[in-house]
Amino acid sequence: MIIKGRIFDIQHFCTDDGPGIRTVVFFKGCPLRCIWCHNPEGQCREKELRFLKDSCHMCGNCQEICSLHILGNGVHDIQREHCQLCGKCVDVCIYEALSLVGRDMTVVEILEDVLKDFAFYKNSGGGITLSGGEPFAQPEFAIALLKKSKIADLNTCVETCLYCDSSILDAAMPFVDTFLVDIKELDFKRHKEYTGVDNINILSNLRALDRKGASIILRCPLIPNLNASEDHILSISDLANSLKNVVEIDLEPYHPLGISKCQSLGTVQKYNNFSFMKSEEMDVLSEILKKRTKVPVFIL
Amino acid sequence: MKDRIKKLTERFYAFPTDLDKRDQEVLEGIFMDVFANNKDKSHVVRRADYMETIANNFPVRINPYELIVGTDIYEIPGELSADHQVYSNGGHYSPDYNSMLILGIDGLLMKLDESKACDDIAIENLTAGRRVLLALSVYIDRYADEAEMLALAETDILRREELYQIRDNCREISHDIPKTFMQALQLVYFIQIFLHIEGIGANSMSFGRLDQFLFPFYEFDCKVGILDSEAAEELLGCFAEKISHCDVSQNLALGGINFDGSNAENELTYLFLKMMSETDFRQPSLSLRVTKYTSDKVWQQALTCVASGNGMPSFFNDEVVINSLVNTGTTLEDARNYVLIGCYEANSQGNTFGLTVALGLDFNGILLDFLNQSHDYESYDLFYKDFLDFFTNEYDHKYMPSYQNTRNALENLSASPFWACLLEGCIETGRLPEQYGAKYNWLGLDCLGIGTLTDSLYTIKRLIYEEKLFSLDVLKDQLRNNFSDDKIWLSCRNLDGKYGTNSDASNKIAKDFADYFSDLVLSRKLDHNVTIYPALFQWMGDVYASEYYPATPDGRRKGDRLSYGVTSSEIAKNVSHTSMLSSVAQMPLDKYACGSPVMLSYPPRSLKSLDGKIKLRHLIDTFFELGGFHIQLNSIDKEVLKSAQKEPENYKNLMIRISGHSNYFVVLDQTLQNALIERVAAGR
Repeated sequence: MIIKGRIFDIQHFCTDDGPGIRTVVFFKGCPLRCIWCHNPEGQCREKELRFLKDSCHMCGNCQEICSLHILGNGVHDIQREHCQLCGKCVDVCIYEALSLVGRDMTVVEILEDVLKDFAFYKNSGGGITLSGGEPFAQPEFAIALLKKSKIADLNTCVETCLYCDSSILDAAMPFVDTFLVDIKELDFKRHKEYTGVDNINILSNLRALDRKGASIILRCPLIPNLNASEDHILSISDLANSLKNVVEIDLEPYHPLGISKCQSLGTVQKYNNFSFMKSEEMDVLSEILKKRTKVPVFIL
Repeated sequence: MKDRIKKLTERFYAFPTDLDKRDQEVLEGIFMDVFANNKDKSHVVRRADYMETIANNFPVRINPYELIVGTDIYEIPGELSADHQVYSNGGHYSPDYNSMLILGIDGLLMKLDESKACDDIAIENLTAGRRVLLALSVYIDRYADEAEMLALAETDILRREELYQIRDNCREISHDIPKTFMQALQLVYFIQIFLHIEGIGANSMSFGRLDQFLFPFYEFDCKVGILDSEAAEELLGCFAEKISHCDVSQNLALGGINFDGSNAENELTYLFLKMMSETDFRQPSLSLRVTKYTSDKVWQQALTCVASGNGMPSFFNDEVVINSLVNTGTTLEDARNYVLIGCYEANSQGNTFGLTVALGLDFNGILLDFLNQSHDYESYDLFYKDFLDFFTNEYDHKYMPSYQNTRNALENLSASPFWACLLEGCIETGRLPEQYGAKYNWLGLDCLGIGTLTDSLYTIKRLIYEEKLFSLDVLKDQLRNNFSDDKIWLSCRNLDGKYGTNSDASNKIAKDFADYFSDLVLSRKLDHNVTIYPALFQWMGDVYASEYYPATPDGRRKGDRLSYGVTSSEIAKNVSHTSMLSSVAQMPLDKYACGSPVMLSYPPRSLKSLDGKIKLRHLIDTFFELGGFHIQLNSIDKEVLKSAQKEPENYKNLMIRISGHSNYFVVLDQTLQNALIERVAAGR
């Protein structure tokens, strides 16, 4: 049987997700529930119905074929709890206000798309980046895609939270050029509070990868009032300095785009902060980090 | 930035002062005096009269801090010249500055004397040429006199020395060849002034390969110790300030290869880029000729310049551009000596009469005309065949005669005796550029909307002939009603796989049509064997045509912009930078020497680091490797543009690349400002 992965986006020409010019494949489904999640459409393993309120013209086409859409008084309500994700409303929505997030694709289908930019990868040392969601939450598919990507002579990166069984990482390692490891929080208790899971398994996986010689980029989202602090930066530097194979640290400033994404999926973002992280604040934190470690630091 | 350049920048922003406005009035006065009378004289004689009068009478001013002197460039308003039936020569050419640098004014006069052409027309033209060269000499001498007078009254010792140097420079080059870098640069500016005076409203006279012409002077001065790179950069800054008073493109082609294929890059290639990265001037409009030899140092400086936000340089792929010129009929040696005219039109320098914006054609207009008279077809192939037959017929019977009229009008109504002195072939034959004196006689044909046309054909093919969603008649009805049916409208508008998504189907439609069209154009000639050479852009057509332009089959309603240059339409979905460049590169761009521009918007954040700059270089390199002709970039936040719209006084120096040239955002009209904001938001 040909295995399929559940993907929610493929983005070409990405320049922030590993070396060179890259295409990023976003996997759907994640074991973490970060309260500030930037890609909430990647959390749930199931397909989801997305509704973009601003695109809706209240034409009523969806209401005609499905009673779960209730339009009236300028409001378009969806009884999501009964939705079977049949997609019929999506087909009749000419304004593309309704769409299904997540499609099942084979390795070959994905690579066919990714390889269109092959010339750009070759010149720049770029390639494919698996992201999400959590790629290793679909381990069999992720490894199959990585393997085929290597055969196709692509540079491979995986952006991962490392919350997975260590055997998966061992199996993937031969086909991964660089691991982009998300470090959300280093304090055990707070990690659980922010992400829903503890970080014991994450940190032990990280140390194991390092020991086995994997090339690692640490990716650190900085969230105002939570972890955008000097203390957290110092913990990151301690972590980086304790590892041998960290080649880069990327600091990712918080942005509030996750909130509206949640709204369009009918869910609620717990961390409800509408302001962007200030670039001056990022500069201060990155300077502190640069003083504490020799590893190159970038702000994304 | 040097203090002098800061002071000159301040002066630049204060332009136009009351004094400048008075000068403008003086110029218009001279114009009326000369052209209201003497109507019995020929155009070329009157043009020489006009230039002589200006050389003798136009105010001569040397401003504080200047090292390069000469009047700012003022334009005769179009209504005024039309009233007097005096016509622009159209500009958009690149004269042979180098011949003036090598021969000097006296040397050129001798060359005129040696011309073997001796019929009546030749004698009249050559006499006019002599008068204009002598007028230039007089004009330059007046600057020498003014500098001397100012020096005598100057109390600051350093400035006095500078004024004496300006005097000596002008005295030297008013007859003789320039001896130093500064003198050469000064002479180039005087030539530019005279070309603008002669052109009467003409613009886009390109400097061309100035880094090449000036290099021997630079090298010599450095060797004998009277110049270093820092001083040279300051002089280039002084030069940039002067020419920035004219806001229309004065293109300068940097780097590239020599006529024998060897590397032409030199220290000045780099210095021009460095100067433009560090100053706030909008001219010269820098173009970088990219070759396999382009050094890391020049690449790095070019990317730094892009990151500075001024939209420069424009990048050109030597290999494809040179092939395109050979395919249009130049020799390989001449093609290797190409420069850019106006925005992105390639010409061989100093030997081409090629008014690159002379002619226009609107692809989508012809498609709509075709649809208006077409019947239904059984298949897309039959539809397309009939469309091409219609197109060819229109081209031959409607467009070609009007193009011939345009060329005839240039011959009958314009005369350029000065340009003739700097254009290979004209002195030898005794014929003006307008009279087919040049070695190469071309006219540019600028075509609007290849992206929208491709999407329209693709939409018809897919939805009418493959998916049979509706009939051609239904579509025609919808086009007349600006897509009154949302369902049909959106099925056209949101169709996947359009041009720019790098899908085989739309790539093929674009390529096939572009092949057909360039073959059509290049196989026809106007009288006197004039070549028409096509371009896949129409300056500003995408922006200003949209308001009245009717709906097109790709789901574009009236008011939506047409596609820009050779890029995809802004309404096409799922277009990434890489997918668009891949689609563009599949076009036969080596048959479009008159230009096929690509504009991309690049987030400023991504260019902050060295790593980010290198990624941009790889993007450009790969595009060129795939067959790209040209690419230009804006690196600017749309939020910044919006703020500038609200508080223009705080954003005087905010520059943006509009098309083939950059300008200050706040001086643009609202329509264009809004279009640019939307374009940046769309990544173009």
